[in-house]
Order: sequence, then C-alpha cells, then structure tokens
Amino acid sequence: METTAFPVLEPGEHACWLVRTVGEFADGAGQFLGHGARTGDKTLVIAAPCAASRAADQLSSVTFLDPRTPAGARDLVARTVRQEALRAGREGYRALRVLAQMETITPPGTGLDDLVEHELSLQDLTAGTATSVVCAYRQDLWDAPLLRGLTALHSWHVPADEHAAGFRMTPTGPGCWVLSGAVDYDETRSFAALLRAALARSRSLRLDCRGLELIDAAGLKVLTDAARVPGARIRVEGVTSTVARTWRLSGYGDAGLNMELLP
Amino acid sequence: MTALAPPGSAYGLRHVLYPYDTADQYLAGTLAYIDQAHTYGAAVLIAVPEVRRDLLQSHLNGHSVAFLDTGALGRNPGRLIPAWQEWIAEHQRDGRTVHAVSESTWTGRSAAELSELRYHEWLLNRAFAQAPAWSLLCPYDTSDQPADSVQTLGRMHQWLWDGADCVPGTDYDPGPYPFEPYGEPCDPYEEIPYTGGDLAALRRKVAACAHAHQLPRQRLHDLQLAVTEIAANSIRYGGGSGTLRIWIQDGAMVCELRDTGVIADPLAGRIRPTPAQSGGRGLWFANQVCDLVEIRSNESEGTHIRLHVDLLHE
Repeated sequence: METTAFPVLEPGEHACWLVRTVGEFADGAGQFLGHGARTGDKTLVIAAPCAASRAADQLSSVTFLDPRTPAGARDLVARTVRQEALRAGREGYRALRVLAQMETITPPGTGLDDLVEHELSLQDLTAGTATSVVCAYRQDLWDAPLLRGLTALHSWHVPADEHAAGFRMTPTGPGCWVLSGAVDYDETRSFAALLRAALARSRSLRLDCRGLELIDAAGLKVLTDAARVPGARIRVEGVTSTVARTWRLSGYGDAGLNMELLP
Repeated sequence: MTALAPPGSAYGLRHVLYPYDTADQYLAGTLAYIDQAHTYGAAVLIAVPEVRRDLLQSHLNGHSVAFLDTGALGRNPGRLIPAWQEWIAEHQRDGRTVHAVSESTWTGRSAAELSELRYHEWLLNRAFAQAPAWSLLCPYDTSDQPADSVQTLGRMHQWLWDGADCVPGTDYDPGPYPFEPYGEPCDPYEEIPYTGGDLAALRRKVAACAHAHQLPRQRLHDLQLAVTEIAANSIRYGGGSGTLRIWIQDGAMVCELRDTGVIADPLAGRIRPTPAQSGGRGLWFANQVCDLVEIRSNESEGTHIRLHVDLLHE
C-alpha cells in the first residue's frame, strides 16, 4: 500500500496532498490525526466516512465533517472551519489543522479557474491565523495537468517531486503575491489562471519575484496579457538579473503596459 | 556602372566583398571606399576588429565616420542583423544614404562558427531586401584562408570591390542556401526525449552537465533559458515532442534539440520582436543568450537546432 510521509504542518500553512489511492488517504488521515494530537492542535477532517473518521469520533480534539455532497459544501466548510478555529482558540489548542478530501467539497471535473478560486478561499481561512489546511486530491479523480497547476498556490505538497508545478504563486496580503521557481511554457495554463484569480481580487498586483529563477517567453506573454486587463496595474519586484535580462530582450518594456519591473 | 554610386534601387543591400591579402591593400582599398562614400554625402559606419579600427582611425584624415561597438554583440553572428538594422535606421533618419564597412574575424574560429558566419553573409541580402538601400563593404583577409574561400564568400555578395571600383561578382548565388551538414556529436553525449511537462527535467539535465564542466552560473541560466525556449517550440509547433542531446565540443557546451517541425523563415530569431508581437521570441532569446545558434530545418528531416555556450566565457 502507498504511504505518505507528511512534512511538519506549521500554523497558517496551506498544503496540497496528491493522493494515489483510497487506502493511502485513510492511512495518511490517520497520520494527520496523530500529528495533531502530538502537537496539541485541534483537527478538522472533511471527508467521506473512513477508518480515520471512525477513529476521530473517539477523540475530543477531532471534528469530523462529511459534507455528503459537494453542493453547498464550500459554504458549509468555510463556516465550519471558522467555528472550529474559534473553538480551538477558546479551548486552548495551539492551532487548528484541517484535512480536506477535496472531492467531497468540489466535484471532480471542476475547471481550473473555479478550483483556483476555491483554493484561494481556503487560503483566506489560513491567512493571518493559526489555521492550516491540507487539500487532498485523489489523482485518479482529477486531471493531472490541473493538479500540477494547483500545487503552485500551496506552500508545499506531497509527494514532494511528483506532478508538481515548477513555480509557486502564493498570496501574502491584499494584492500581494510571492512568485518563485520557474515559469515556462509547461506552466502557462496555471500561471494564467492564478493571475486571473489574483486580478479578480485586486486590479493592482505586487509580485515579489526574488525567488523567480526563470521566466520564458510564454510566461512573459501570460504576464503581459494580465497587464492588458482593463484597470490592471502590475508591479514586479525583486527581479533577478536573469529575469531582468529576459524582460529587456523581450521588448515588452516598450509595449506601453501598466507594468513595471524593479530589482 | 562600376563606381560605388549610391545604390540605384530605393531598396535592398549593395553587398560588396573586398578580398585583400596585405595590410597596405586593406588600408588603400577601404579608404578609397570611404572616400567615395563621402563624395556621395553618405553616412559612413564602420564595424571592424580593434586592430583594423586603430589602423583606419590613424589614416582617416578628418573624414567623419562612426565606429560601431560590436564588442557587446559577442561572437554569435545571429546577433548581427538586428544590430545592423538598428544602426542603419539610426543613421538613415536624416535621409542620408549609409555606406558601411564590416569585417568579421575568420581566424581562430570553430567550423560551426565559420559556417554560421557564411550563412549570416547570405542572410544579410534577404534581411535588407525590402529595407531602404544601403551599401556594405566586407573586407576579407585572404592571406591565411583556403584558396577557394573567396569563391565561397562570393556566393553571398553581389558585388566585388577591387580596391577602387565596385564590379559585379561572378559567383553570387541568391539561393537557396547550401547548408553544410552537421558533424556528429562528440562522445560521450546524453540523449533525452522530451514532451509536454518535461521542460523542468530538461533544465535539470542541462544543469547536471554544466556543473560537471564548470560552466559559470550565469551562462548556465542562459543555456537553460535557450533550451527551454527551443523545447517549448518543439512541443507547440514541432510535433509535440523532441530529443535533446548534450555534449562538449570546441570548448563549448552544445545542446541539440530535434523535432519534426519546420522553420520556414530563415530569419527566424534574427529580427528583434516588436513590443506588440505576441510570439516569435524563443529563437530570438536563444540567439541573444548563446554564443552560437545553428539551425537546420527542412520538410524531410525536421528541425535540428544546436545551442552553443562557451565554457570559459564570463
């Protein structure tokens, strides 16, 4: 049976677990509960009934939520997470950790833009709080390129090197994002979806690119297309000499875009 | 007409080869060309190696010429056409005709570099065919070159400069260009097939080879960008997949990418993209960051692109 070794989940983290089998989820959920008990965290598991959920019933620190059907589940999950976070604080827990079996919240087949929006709403639940969320996606239920793209907006993912995007784009505040790694042609679909979601939230974006190692012509095209969205204003900060050179060679700097690159 | 009159047509390049075998001959012939250019009121641009620049400067006798800084362009002939386009446009703004002198360094270069230099000379005719007319003298030192090299270069030049006059070249051949076949990769080489989703893995392979041969970090980034661009072109336009081969040759790391696509435009990657242009930057990036880019592309064999980055280049 496949097993998963979870990294330490710090408060406020938003992580992604690409689950290979149903059995692996049950085993990993058990580990997740165990970690929570050891670190003094309150745990919320959002999943269909499984061995872990039955075990959860025996533990006062664990709440189990089965949305039954994805319809309306997003609101239910958001409400429940907020309530449990408040309870965790009141009851003296260090933090709230959430494990979400994603097919119970959002139906497989959901498009990338919708999933990104959903993920960002989960991210909102963690921002500036002691709540951490692990989003578990079964690989047999979701399109592999879509999962690859989704890993980009999580702080980490397991398995470590499998099906992962080559870049990360994670929010750090209103209109502020950290963009790191490598954005190339393989990543354009997910990069474009993330930029669309970011612009839907704020027309003014600041991208911290200190960790951006490479962006190719296709990645720059996506970035400049985003800058062409009416009202968009993009400030790209901390660019490395390599990225600055690529930008200069591209000629986009003379395109009259509402976009600036700063070292 | 044999004198170097201003180009008769309003468009196109008057591409003039000047074979010489002594410094005196070089000086006399090049100064005669510059004299004639000034007679016609032309702007004179000069792009020559430093030693030739010093020699010309000391004999110009007050003639106004502009020496062009070619050092920043590096050794890749793929960067010369966009540079000339910018230089010419800048000096034609006031309506003057332009007469230029360009001498490439033909010694101490690898077979691949020489092949690309010759191809560059052929491409110049095509690149400026629809541009406002200008004249380019290409001095060529025959003293240490093969006997048939003048004839070979004559294929790319419509005109010959005999030291005083411009005469039609008898070897000029407008095309198609007779590419020299690639040599085999040097052993040992790595061969990696790729398709969509593999770009990061290709960069890791390039990095592993670069580290083994102490390629400086910035040059690794250059090569990774170029490989990413060309492989992405394979995935988008070249049948969806390709093969990367990596080896070391003539003091350079060489990455060859092969796919089944065809690059129809011989000037692809040699024209600066406009800001509004949505595509066409991949080969341009490759030419700007690599020390040499070789392209072979046809219907029967597909596209083979070799990217060279010098190991000792900083």
